[in-house]
Amino acid sequence: MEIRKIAVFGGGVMGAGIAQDAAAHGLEVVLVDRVEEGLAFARKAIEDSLNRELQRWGITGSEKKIILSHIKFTLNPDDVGSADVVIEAIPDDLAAKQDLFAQLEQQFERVCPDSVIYVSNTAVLPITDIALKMIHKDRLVGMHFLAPVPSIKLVEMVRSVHTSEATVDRAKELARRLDKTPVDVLENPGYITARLVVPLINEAIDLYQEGTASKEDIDAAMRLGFGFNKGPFALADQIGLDVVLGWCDNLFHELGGRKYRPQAVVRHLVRKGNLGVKTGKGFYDYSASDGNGEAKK
Amino acid sequence: MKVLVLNCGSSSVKYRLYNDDEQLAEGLLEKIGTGEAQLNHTVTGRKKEVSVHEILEHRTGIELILKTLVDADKGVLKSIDDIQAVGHRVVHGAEAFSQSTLITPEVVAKIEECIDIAPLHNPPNLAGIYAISELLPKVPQVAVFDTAFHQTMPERAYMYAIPYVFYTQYHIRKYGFHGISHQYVSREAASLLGKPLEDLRIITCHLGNGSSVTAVDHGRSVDSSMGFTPLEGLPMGTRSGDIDPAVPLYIMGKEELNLQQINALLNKHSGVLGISGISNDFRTVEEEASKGDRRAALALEVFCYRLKKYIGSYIAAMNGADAVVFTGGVGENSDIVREMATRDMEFLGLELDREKNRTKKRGEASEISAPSSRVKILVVPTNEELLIARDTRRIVTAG
Repeated sequence: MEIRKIAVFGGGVMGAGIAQDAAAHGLEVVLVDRVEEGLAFARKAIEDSLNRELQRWGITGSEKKIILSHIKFTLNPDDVGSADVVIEAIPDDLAAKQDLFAQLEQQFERVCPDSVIYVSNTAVLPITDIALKMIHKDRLVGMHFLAPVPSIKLVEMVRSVHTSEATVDRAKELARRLDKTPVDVLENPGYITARLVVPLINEAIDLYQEGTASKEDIDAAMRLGFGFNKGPFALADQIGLDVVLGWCDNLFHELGGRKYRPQAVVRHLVRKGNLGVKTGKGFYDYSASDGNGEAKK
Repeated sequence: MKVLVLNCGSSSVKYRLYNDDEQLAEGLLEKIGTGEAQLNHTVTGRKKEVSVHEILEHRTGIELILKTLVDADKGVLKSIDDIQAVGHRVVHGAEAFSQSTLITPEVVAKIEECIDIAPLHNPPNLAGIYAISELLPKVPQVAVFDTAFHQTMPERAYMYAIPYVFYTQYHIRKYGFHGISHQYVSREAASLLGKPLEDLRIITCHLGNGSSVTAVDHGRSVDSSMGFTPLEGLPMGTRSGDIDPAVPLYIMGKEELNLQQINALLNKHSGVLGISGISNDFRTVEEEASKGDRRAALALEVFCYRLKKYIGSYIAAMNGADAVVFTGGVGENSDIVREMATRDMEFLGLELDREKNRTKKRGEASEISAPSSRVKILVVPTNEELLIARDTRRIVTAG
């Protein structure tokens, strides 16, 4: 059976991005959050993102309306009804995710087809641990989307020790439906993306702080010298400094090693609420930008 | 012979049921893929019936259409077995198909190969073919291609002046579209003129939300304004039409647009909508222009000027013309567009009878040129479904 409908739990940056991307690819989406503010944030994030795409000629006004009409925002999980794929995009808190999936499994057991799969969007937590309280542990798989979801054509497919091939196939079907390339990874901390980008960002911060080069020049060197789309500072701002900090904490905790250690400057910026592109300020100032993630020059 | 004609789009199915040339029923199923797909079904001579259904894919949509056709109240057939053949509109036949074809597994495979160059259109066309193969396995099916009529174009007309390897490797060339309509109206025009099509040089202008012009030389398409995709040629409702290829590259650089964005810019934000900033609908743009909106008037002028140049260039290509034919929603209904596009063309032999042009009745084929006009100017309503039904009948009967 073709994948037609997905449920997304958690209306943060990732949940909203996944919902928007799925709706833009013609899927029916129900986005569930626990609080009204969460839904309001998600709705605004999606509308802003579609407006930017409209300004950049990528879609038309009526396409924007169609995409929005494919997404149902709700506080009540019962509104989901049946779904082909159930995705969790709540904050990376192991106990919360374990409970959520145990709950969802109970809820969907009766209403969903047997082919239903459960997906965690975690960037760091082991899928095996998340599945702990589930009955059908084989139906849980990790799909690590990266932000901004609609424009990043990659998903890391993460198996637990229980994940079945059928579940992985189904998740890959969803990835391809969203025009994304799935890459297979084991559930080792940080997978490919976070594991490689954290040391890069950390090293860039060291370079900057020891006075070797400016942020702008470090970014330019990596962009022009090695064909990076964005340099490490702009990349960290795009990922979100709170997310980067979470990755550092987790990798440092799980793997040890100075290269993963959270940098004080990142912690400081996060405390100030300067999380990068999404708040308008991070390593760079985006307050006067077009919202497309280009810093003021 | 009872023939069902299907035109499957990405989220819609248009259908018509014919008994020979007589239309028994027609309809449109929209919003496929949703819980509220809408079926508009009309039996000839009766009131339109509208109903809403959950239709998630083309197969169930076509199943619903077949059920409706045999329904005791809304239907026109006693049994589904009364359908003797099904004709499908297929958008892209590339170089594999130069005429309508009986559908076999080999033909399906070739249509599937064309998905690469028509990713939006061929998949839903194929969905219709798969559905009928499943629902009416014994009924012969015929594919009628939008590109087939233009396969008679000479090499010099279809080859782009880029490295030849792109033709051999990716089949990049001009294909032309709206072929079913151009073919249909050129035949109708010949019969209106009372001459064999094989004796005539006709320029057919299919003008709608998408527009194209074709040079029909003694019954064969020898050039057409649309190209590798329907983006080339005339400016359209939302498509740019012909443009210096350096322009999109320049905009991409300046605005840092990606491929999808520049593609949408040229296909969905340009044309009459792009210039006027008001609408892609010619009626709205004409109305605003008549009220004095400068950009609406400019959009019309650009469109008609380009159309006029295409007509002129096809007169050159065929060393003359016997008739210019207007068809399609805009071509059939906009006297302003017809007048602007044929104005000041006496040198080339076109003289419009303004009165006839203005008072032409809707839905009727008629001549609108002055008696002294060397090139006849005609308006001919198009009917692609009827041509599909006729081709289907001919092929199934011969087969």
